[in-house]
Amino acid sequence: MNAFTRIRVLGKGLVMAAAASIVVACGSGSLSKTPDGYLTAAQVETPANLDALVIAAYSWLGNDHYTDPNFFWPTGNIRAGDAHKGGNGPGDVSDYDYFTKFYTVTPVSAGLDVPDRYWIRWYDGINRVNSALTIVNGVTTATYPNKTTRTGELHFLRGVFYFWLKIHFNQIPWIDENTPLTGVVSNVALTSQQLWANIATEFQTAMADLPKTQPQVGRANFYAAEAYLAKTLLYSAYVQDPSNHTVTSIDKSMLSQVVTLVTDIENNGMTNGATDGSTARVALLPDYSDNFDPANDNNPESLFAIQRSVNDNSAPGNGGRGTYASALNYPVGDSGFGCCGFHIPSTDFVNNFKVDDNGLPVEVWNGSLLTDYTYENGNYTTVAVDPRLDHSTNIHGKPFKYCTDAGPTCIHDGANWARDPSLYGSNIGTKDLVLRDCSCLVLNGPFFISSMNTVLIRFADVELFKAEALAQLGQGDLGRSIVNTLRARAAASTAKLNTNPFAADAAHPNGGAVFLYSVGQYPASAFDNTADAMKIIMRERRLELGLEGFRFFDLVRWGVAGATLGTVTTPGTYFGDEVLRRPYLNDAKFTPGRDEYLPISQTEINLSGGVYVQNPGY
Amino acid sequence: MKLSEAKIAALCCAATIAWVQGTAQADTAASTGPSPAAEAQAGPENSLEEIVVTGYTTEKKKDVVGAISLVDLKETEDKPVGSIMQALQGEIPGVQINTDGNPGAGTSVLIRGQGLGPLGFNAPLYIVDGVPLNVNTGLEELNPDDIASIQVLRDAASASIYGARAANGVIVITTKKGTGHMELTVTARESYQDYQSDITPLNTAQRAQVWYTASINAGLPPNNSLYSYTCKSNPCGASGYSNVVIGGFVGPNGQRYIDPGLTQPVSDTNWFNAVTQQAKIKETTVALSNATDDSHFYSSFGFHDAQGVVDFSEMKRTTFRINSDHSLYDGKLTLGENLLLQQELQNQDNANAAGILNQALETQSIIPIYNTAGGYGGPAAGTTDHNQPVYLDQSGRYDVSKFNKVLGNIYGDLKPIDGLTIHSSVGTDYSQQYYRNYFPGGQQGNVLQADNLNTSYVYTQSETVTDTIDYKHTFWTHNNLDFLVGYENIDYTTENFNASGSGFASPVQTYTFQSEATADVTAAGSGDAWTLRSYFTNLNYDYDGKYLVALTLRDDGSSRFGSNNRYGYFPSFAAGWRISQEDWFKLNWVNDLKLRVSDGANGSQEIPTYGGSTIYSPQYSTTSLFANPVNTTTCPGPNCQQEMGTAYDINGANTGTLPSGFAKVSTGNPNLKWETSRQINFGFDWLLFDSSFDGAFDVYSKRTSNILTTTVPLSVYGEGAEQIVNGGTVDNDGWEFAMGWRHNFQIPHLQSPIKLHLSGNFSHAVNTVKSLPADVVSAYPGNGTTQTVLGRSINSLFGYSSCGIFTSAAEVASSGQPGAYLGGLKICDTNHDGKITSADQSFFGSTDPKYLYGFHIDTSFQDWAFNMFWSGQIGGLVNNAWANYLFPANNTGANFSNQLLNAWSPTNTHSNIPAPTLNSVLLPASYFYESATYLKLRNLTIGYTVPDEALAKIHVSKLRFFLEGSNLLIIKPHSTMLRDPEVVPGASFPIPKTYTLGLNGSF
Repeated sequence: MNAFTRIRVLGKGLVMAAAASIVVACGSGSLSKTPDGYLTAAQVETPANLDALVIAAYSWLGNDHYTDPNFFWPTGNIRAGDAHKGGNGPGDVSDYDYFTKFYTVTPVSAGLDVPDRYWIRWYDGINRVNSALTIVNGVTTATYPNKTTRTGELHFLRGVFYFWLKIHFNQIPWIDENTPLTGVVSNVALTSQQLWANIATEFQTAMADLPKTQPQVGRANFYAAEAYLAKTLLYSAYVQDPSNHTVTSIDKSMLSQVVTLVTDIENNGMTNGATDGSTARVALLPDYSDNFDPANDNNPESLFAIQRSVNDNSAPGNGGRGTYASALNYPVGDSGFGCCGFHIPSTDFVNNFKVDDNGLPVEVWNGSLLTDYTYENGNYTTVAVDPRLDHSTNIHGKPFKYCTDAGPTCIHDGANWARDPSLYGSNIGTKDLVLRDCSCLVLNGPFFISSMNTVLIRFADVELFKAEALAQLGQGDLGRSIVNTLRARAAASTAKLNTNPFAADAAHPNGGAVFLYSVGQYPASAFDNTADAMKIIMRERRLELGLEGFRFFDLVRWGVAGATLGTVTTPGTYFGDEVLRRPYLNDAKFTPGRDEYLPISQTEINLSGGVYVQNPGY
Repeated sequence: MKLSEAKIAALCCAATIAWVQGTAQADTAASTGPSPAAEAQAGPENSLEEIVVTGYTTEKKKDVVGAISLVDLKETEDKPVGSIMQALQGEIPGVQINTDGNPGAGTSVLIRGQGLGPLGFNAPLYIVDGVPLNVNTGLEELNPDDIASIQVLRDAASASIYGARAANGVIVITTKKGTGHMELTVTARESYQDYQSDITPLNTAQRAQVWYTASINAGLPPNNSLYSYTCKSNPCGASGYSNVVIGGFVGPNGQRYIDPGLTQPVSDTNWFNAVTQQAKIKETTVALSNATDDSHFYSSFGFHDAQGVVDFSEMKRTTFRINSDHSLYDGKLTLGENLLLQQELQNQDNANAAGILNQALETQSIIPIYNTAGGYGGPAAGTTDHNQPVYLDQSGRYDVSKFNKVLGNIYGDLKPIDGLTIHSSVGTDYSQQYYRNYFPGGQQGNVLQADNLNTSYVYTQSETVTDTIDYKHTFWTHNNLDFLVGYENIDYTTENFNASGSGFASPVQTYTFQSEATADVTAAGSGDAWTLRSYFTNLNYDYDGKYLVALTLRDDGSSRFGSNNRYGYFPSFAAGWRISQEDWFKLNWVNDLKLRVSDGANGSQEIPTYGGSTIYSPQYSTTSLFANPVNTTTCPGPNCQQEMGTAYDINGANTGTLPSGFAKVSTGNPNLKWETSRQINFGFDWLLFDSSFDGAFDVYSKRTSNILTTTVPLSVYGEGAEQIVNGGTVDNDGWEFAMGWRHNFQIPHLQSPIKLHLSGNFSHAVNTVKSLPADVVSAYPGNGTTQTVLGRSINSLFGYSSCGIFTSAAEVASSGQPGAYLGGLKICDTNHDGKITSADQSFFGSTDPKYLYGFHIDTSFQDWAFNMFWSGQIGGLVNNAWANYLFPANNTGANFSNQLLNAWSPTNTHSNIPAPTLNSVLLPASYFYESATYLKLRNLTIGYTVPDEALAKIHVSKLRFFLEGSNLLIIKPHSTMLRDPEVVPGASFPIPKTYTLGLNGSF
């Protein structure tokens, strides 16, 4: 104790003695306090809480919002030309306007924050996994009997979050439970292929740890991980030039693995909740529409889904942990819903479902050559379409999502159901929506929220992975039987559709007959070479998986995004045709080599002190 | 009692001192002998003898060695303000006060520069009668009529006695004590307020016109469900249109509607007029006071009822105060108390007034207030889906929130021997707030909303115990010593809970209680606590009033820091030299001249109480999706966003209680320690020419180091990675100047002189960030590498600069600017590389004022007084959010500013308003800032004091009437769009013009 300190202590003693001598209290608080209302690390990081930490990691799947939905309608559908942004003009969630037009989607543009939000949120999810893994790794199976299974689930979740980051941003920093939480990990420390390999490793680790089936339906099982591994390998098989994102080679060994993995799911795949191996097999649902029925969550075709719930007391507004991702997508006006008219399927997307006399997709469908399939053109009863159009899109004059009452809130009333029909038209993407009277639907503020799951990967998708791999490998029937199986299912899925409300009204443009549906089978001759087979499979993915959020990533994987979207001055491309119907697209332009991936947040680049490298072209 | 005795008796407790001060002023007045009326007009003539509270003790102003401002309350007493701090805007050198026009508004006060800006905590410490306040947002809970004195301690040495939270300066308030004889005082004011908006929205026909141009400029067809144009060309183009039909839906009688249901006829609503009113403010204070040889008391009842300029908005405040003290045993023991009971009622329209006004500008005039189906008009295709202002206004009028407060202390002084005083005080600041907001929801236009009731309750309590021992002695004739040791302990606790529910069977206020909710009932709550404990000593010494020295040492302990760094040690030193007292000083026109120098350190502990620990929280219950920040740092607490939840329906049940985990809220830093600011001050005070000219000049340099701030980690480290750290250094340097001049002009043939008092202040401050940790600096303006905020003000602005308007197609083509178009805003190519990239961003200014100033021109003649107060700011930029109304693409469904009618076009090339477009384009940040320089006539008062002779007959001892106007005139650069650059538009409630009639009488 030095002299100085001694004086301080002496001073304190004197004051205290004097204060005590005149009775008054000295205050009762202690200077040693723990924070009120929080748990400390020591309280949380216990074996008893391990299951809760895993739940926290799962919950990040559903921690989304209409400005950063984990159902990728903005980044997967709008950017692919399958849908318009919708809403109230270009300024209403203007980021989505930028997505639509690939317009000033550069770090230069102020306020482009949807990509930044995705980046922040998915790394938040990854860090919940990392925190949980750190603790789980430190306990024994004796302490934590679920250790192996939960470890597998955590790796699976981390794989999913990284997969999302990879397809959106391409070059990303890899952070796992062994990464120190200081310093900067560069987003180009690993090459694109190394990142893919890391993601594949997550799913392989998950497969090693996971049981074939889990009693709780929301958890990942072996086959969910296997499906994601197949998807990861399929994406990574298309090797890209890092400078311009063109596909430079196709890794056939990876495609062979895809075939093997999917075949295993076909033969042995199980869904959750099975008490024995025989009951809960992964399979296509008999009716295509059952995939989009809220009563059918966790069905045999759904390999992994975000579990949504409402009325769970988790937030003011009974939307709970429901489908905020789709909160903007319900129709407005006289539809019986109130908000907000986003996610409007494009005319190009609708025309895509037109079929020829054999029930096969019309080869060239752009508007310059064919009449648009619309109410005004009166061709619902004269032109046949693939019924998957009406399963995915509600168009003027047709019943909304299998409603049967034919009343004013059932039959799409054109512009009267739309937010800004002059700009975007009045189509409604329906796969993520439910009927107004569903008990799974609640009104939260102005938004409609349901408990319908967001399916991240379904068996039909996985089957098409295999078809694509076979086609690229030149093996077997090049995927023909898989494509035809899906088409046969589609053809048989009209039971809920064949209700033309105008059938009795012969004078009506679409009256006097039933709506025409047709889905034909491809002959063997259509699949006699890889190029033709791939062309059909690419088209079949758009028909089967339309508006499910992954189309744009398919286009980028195949290296055809630029050629497909094109420019407003190139007839035959999406922009070239759609701009004739939707002039707001007049300044849309896809820039190959840049627009395949979103920009890395300039804020994050700044925070990294310039260590992060911006994606090419921005 | 003589002044010297007063000084010696004044100990520790500010309340006691207030009484002493009152007595002292009365004595001064008695000795110089002006009439009470004259004294009220002119204030004390000789400021040297004023008593100043310098901490737990007092001094005469002439003995003060720090930079202390004593506010002249005579200058502010007529202002109809809710908070005394509002009345002090521009009055005190070096003090920047920001407030807005909301009747219940708080104030933000910056003493000596910008502090740490967004890096840290900047509010001063408020001490009321010796009790520190919990909330540092101003003094709106006090009745301004109860205040006896306000002193602002600016330099470190003066403030250091309050060290633990004094780093941003201290504002010391003492309330009134009983004086003289039994007296009843009535003060009443009635005010009217008017407000005009900065921009005028378009009417329905004008918006159709602007919409056409904006569509054509964007290359879009202009027709939509609101407007169908008959164009002069096909397709529609720059040649314009010959006719427009407004309203896309036509009724049976040909009337046009905006909705397919034909319930919303095309209208031309002036929303601003529909939701604003001429507001009235009524204020009354009735006070009773008395003093006897051994007792003093003052009690008052105050009522303040202020409407706002938004219809129905209202704030009512009732205050009751009782201050008394009693001495026993020949004055050896004094016991007393100060007590304030206060209730403030504020309705939701008052709380949401800024939002309603913004909505009134945003909502298109085409929407009717009411529809034809008996409901409210509302959103339709082509309009924003926000609630319309009248509906908001009506739905908030009956939701009244209550704020109750008890503030006060009891104290005792024991004087066992001559010169020694032992003082103890126990004080509390206790407040409760009840908040309710019922939103009725329902169908409004094409938007359907659920109803919702939010209620919350919060209490905060602090207990302050202060014990001091003070010994004053004069030895060897000229050596005056004042030695004080003290102890202070503050315990703070708070707890809150809130609930929400919906599905109410009836929207009436007498029914909507949480128990009646049928859906979606949630509850949440939290609490917090901290303790602050300090030991301090203070030594004041002077030799013959010539050489003055003050020394303060303190040791502060805070529960917010880890055990190793819990205590901080803060010394200060000050010295003064009254040159004019020297024998050799022979300038007889100099009445007093004093040099002062001080140097001291203060601490700050203003961080969340959890800073030291890594903490987790189950985020089962989250807030709604409308809380929607981009970055987790803007929403650091638990229960934050719905998208940050920890619950998951792992069983696929779709409803019911979910399993939940935990989220990391923040990362602990066990090494946290006190932030320290050190300030050196040099100043001098003068009194010249028969004491008619007084003034003070101070120059200071303040350096804050070990700044307590929050890191902004890379997002890849996930939620809760942010950490509170001690890091960085910020300097605030500047100077302050205050002066006053009094003169009585004897005019021939007039019996009484015209009295003139001119006074003013001028100050300058510069903020400079010297260093910041790497994971903090990147979060502030700049690009993270070559351009950072280091070496600049923390409030610097960074971004693209505006370089005028594109006036030719060639200019557009060669610009290399994304989204460039003819008539659009040109961004400066600062690096001259022929294209616009992020490398063209630069620092283009800051929001810091360069100079702040204010001046009074006070005159009186006989019983009349005429006073003016002007104040203003030179330099700095203010965000002009109204500029957003020039860019239709920012909110295509909104209304726009009528300035667009005069926008640039090939035929109107002299306009500086960019041509409207519906395309979202890159906008230069600098375009949204404009000069904040202004000069404002803050107050103009005419007062009349009824002569004593007239009053004597009616048993009234004093009666005064006054007419006052506030914010009557604003002088600003011509280019400025804002009418009042003092208020940041959009974010806050505008300051209205106010006219007040009042009276002040004593009986």
